[in-house]
Amino acid sequence: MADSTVIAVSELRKSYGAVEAVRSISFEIARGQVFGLLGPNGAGKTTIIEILEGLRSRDGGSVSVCGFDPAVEPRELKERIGVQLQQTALPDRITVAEALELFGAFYRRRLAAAQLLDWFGLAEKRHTYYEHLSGGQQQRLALALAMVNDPEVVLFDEPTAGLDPQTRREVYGLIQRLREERRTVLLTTHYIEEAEQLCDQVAIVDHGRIIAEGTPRQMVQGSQQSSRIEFVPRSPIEVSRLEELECAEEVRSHDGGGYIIRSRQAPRTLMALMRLLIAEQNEVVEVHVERPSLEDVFIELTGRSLRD
Amino acid sequence: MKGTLELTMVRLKLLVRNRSAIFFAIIFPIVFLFIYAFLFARGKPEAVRFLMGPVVVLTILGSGFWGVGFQIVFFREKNILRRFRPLPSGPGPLLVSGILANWVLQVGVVGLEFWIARLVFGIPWPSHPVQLFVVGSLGLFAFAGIGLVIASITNTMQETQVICNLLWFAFMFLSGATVPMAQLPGLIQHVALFLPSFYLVYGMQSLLFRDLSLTAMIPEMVALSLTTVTGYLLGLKLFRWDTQMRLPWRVKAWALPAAVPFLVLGLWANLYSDRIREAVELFRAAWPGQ
Repeated sequence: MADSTVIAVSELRKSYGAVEAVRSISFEIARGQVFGLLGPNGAGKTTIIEILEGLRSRDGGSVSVCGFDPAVEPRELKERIGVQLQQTALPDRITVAEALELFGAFYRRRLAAAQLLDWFGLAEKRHTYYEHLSGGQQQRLALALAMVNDPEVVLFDEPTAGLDPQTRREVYGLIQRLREERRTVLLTTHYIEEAEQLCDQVAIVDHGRIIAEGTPRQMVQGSQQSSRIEFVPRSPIEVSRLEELECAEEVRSHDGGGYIIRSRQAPRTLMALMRLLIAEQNEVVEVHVERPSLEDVFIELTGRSLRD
Repeated sequence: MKGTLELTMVRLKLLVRNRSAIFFAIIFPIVFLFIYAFLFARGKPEAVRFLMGPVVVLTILGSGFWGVGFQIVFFREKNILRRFRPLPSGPGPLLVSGILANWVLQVGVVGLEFWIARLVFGIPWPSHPVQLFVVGSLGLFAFAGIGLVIASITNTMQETQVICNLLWFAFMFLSGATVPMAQLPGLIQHVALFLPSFYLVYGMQSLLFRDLSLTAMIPEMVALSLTTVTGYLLGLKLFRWDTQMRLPWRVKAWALPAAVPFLVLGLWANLYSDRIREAVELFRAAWPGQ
């Protein structure tokens, strides 16, 4: 375990009766990293994160968060981590400021409520009852409550589940800010774009196992899935000429006068395409490259979509 | 400690912001005071003074069951307890703050009841206010403890309502809190000695009518205190943060220790004390000729 490692999980196991929810999972998270556990519902993500939070016992393996074993020193650990659980609520008639003061009172170290209100854009709502907040504001408050103790490590369980796209983007902005502050973040998600946009490192979890791990870029590059290059030239080109391009796997023309090339090495294919167009004194009017996504990687690894 | 006090304050604020809670915690007991005073005591000061015991017990009994126990189950079903789960403090502050907030509120309500009874019906101020405060507080804590036990063993709000209502009716109608002990059948009088509400009514009436010292009520006070402690410990032991953590039937047997203090006290009172005779005499002193 390196000095910079804040979370270390080794051979973690957990079963519920006959169901093995977590099967020998290992990973490490370095200080300041945003790490995502990506997987479909029921993959075991929540069980993993709740074991790390000290909320659930484990059957085997070792876990260290901020140097503490959650099963041995849960109180000390909880002083140092910020947690946002799925499906939580507050009493309808508690105000935003009261909630922040209340939760802060349980910690030895705390951030001022005024600071959190500004940070999470809730200053104008400080005297508003919880029941009168929008879904996005309630979620922002949930994230603010996770930060009341100025935590070194923040654990978010599906932080954007059930939110509309605009609110989801707001939450992304807040998590980006945590990364800028060099806080360590572990989040679970089943949203591909969330993992791609927010995470430095992603572990894909399925049936209680990590089936792939790396940066989103590494995982996509390591994928056997091909990129899709769509372009429109000024003058038509013969499809057979495009099929000869380096690494081109499949070529077809479409009705708009353009072509679609599938390639596992999109940069090389693009370079070859440019050389061909220059040689033929042709030009590109429009070009669009679509890399395989983590969703494609997941399908490649499991044969299923994330939302199956 | 700071978190517990902050949570107690928040719970008091939540109570006064909730119209339904205000009605059941404050207005409803005062309505009962007027019903008892006009219907049973016909406005006679001595009879009203005698009925202050049952009125106070009715007030604090309901608050312990619904204000403390039911509220825990309500918070659990609304996923509010889950939000508190990652805090370093565990469930203790949630239980203690419920008991404290209920105590603060009900001390105020009982004080208001005595003030109204004096103002409207002319009863004298209690001659032993400190002793009355001590016994009333022990009763409040004990019923809150029973409320916590109910919350610990029930899985849903409906289940909690059923158990709270069953116990409430038993505690009210079989203990002398509604029908005076003197008018209860002999068998029920012996059953009443197993119920905490009997001792609270008896203690209140003794303090209001006689110069009874607290030392004469040590067994009752010990039983009330043990019920509080047992209820709190069971509340901690069986605490569940969310509705997914359901309790199997065999685990519900854990609630039985909460009944032990009053089982023992009931046996003692039936075998060795004159509590029934004393309760009957208190009634006859307030209602001569009955």
